Amino acid sequence: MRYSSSLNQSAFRLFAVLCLALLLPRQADAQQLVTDISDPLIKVESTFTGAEILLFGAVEAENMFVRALAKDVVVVVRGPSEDITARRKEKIAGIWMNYGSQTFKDIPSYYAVASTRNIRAIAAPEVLQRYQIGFENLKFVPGKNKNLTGTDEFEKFKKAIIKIKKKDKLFVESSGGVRFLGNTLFRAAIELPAIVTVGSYSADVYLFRDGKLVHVQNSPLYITKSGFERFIFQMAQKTPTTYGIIAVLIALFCGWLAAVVFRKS
Amino acid sequence: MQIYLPIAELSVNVFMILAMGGAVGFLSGMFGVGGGFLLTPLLIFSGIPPAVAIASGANQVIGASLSGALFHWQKRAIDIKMGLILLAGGVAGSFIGVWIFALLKQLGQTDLLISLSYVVFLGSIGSLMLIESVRAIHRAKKGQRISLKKSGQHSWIHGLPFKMRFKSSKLYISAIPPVLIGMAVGILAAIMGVGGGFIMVPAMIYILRMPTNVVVGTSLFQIIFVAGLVTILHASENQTVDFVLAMLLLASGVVGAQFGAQAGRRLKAEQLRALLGIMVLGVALRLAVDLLIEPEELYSLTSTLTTAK
Repeated sequence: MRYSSSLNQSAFRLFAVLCLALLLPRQADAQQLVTDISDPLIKVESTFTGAEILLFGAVEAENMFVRALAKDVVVVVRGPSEDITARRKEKIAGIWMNYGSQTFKDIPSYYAVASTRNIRAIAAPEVLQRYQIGFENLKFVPGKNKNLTGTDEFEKFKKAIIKIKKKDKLFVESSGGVRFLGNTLFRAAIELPAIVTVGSYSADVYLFRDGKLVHVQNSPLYITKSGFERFIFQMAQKTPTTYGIIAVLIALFCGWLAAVVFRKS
Repeated sequence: MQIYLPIAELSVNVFMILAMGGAVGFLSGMFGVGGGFLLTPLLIFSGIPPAVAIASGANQVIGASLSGALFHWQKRAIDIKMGLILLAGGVAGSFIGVWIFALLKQLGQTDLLISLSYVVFLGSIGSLMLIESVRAIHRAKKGQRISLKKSGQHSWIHGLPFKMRFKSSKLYISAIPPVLIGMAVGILAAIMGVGGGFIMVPAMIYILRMPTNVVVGTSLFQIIFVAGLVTILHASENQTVDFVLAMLLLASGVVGAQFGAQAGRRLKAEQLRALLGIMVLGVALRLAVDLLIEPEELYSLTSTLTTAK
């Protein structure tokens, strides 16, 4: 049910964007990029097993005579930032235990890049670095311990974070993830795994022409717990002691109920 | 069928969690252990964050222990007086344990401490129980009638003051050893995130020399309170009790505990001890292997949100 309704909604929005694109005034240097998200508010309910967000938009031709050719679109979705501590296990006295560690500040908890083709082919490394497009262009700022900055060790910890995040599908890179439908319309599907952090996300759409960034469009995106899940989560945060006592009482009730039911049978 | 856990913030298979709760509940009712020492590692192996696994596991243990304890209550197999004295020590111990845990958290080696305590305590208790009970089974086969409680035997325990009479356990001993045992178990319980039944049961059998049929019920009785305290402490301090996860574990856990208690009644005391010994030893070995073999992924990540939710 939910799936089909969101599909209808997506189709409607796509249609709306298409209309908008056609109706826009054809002035040079006017807005060249129009984008929208299928579902800007993602609700996390008990059946949540991850989500797919559809991003679509239209790129206008510069003027009537030049068709919108040689253009590339890159979509970057970033989740709420977090401080990450990476730890490495080492064998000490025969036992594998955490030994080295490095903390990094403000790493996006979720980071997805979708592009029309390989991002390295789209723009120069400096450009990608400036806008933090691609895993290796993310800024890894050290936290408390700055001793390792610039060393091989630092790079190893950085690579470990990227590797683990990729495995958890929290870091996603898909060249070819943005597809053009005809000359002006494009769409990108971005997958969010079930373990995504709730909070405010941002979806940035970058338009490149011949390796140069010509336009950026930013759209906010919210992932929020809803219904029973929201109720439980808020209660656990706002009235933690009451929450704990209620949890204990319900557990006691369940235990008692089982004992009574079994005594009768 | 998948369900989203609001505190653990991930989606799990409902049937897998139900099966875990049921199996652990069964063992819990059978052996008089809360089952935390099995449930916590199982939940962590299945991807639940350790802090949530420990806290929600404690919540489930309350229900499973009450379900089992009520069964033993009907059979008059609970020594309430002994339970309360063990509990008094246990409550004091769990506060000390929470304090030690906080201290070690600052040093950044809590994972290792938890694993090592599991391996050392489960390993030594498991092997001792197994050796003792296998000997008992052998002697029983030869037709010798033996009991752990040797009449007229006097150890240092009998020289201590504050002697009390425990009618259900047929004991007349000082209150000091039970309080100390309760306290030691409380400390370990808070550090390892378990109810402590797997330490309590052998301590009651081998140190206090309580009759095995009373041990299980009494252990369950006091675990209800320890697990209740742990749940409330975790909920208020760390907000890590996942109600949805606990409910799933409870639904199957309380039923399992009833079947387990019935099954336990049919086994002989020494067989029960041998089985518990094998299980405890198994968990210890599994965790020891993790410490000794090179892990597939050497790196691990912990993160804290820097932007408000």
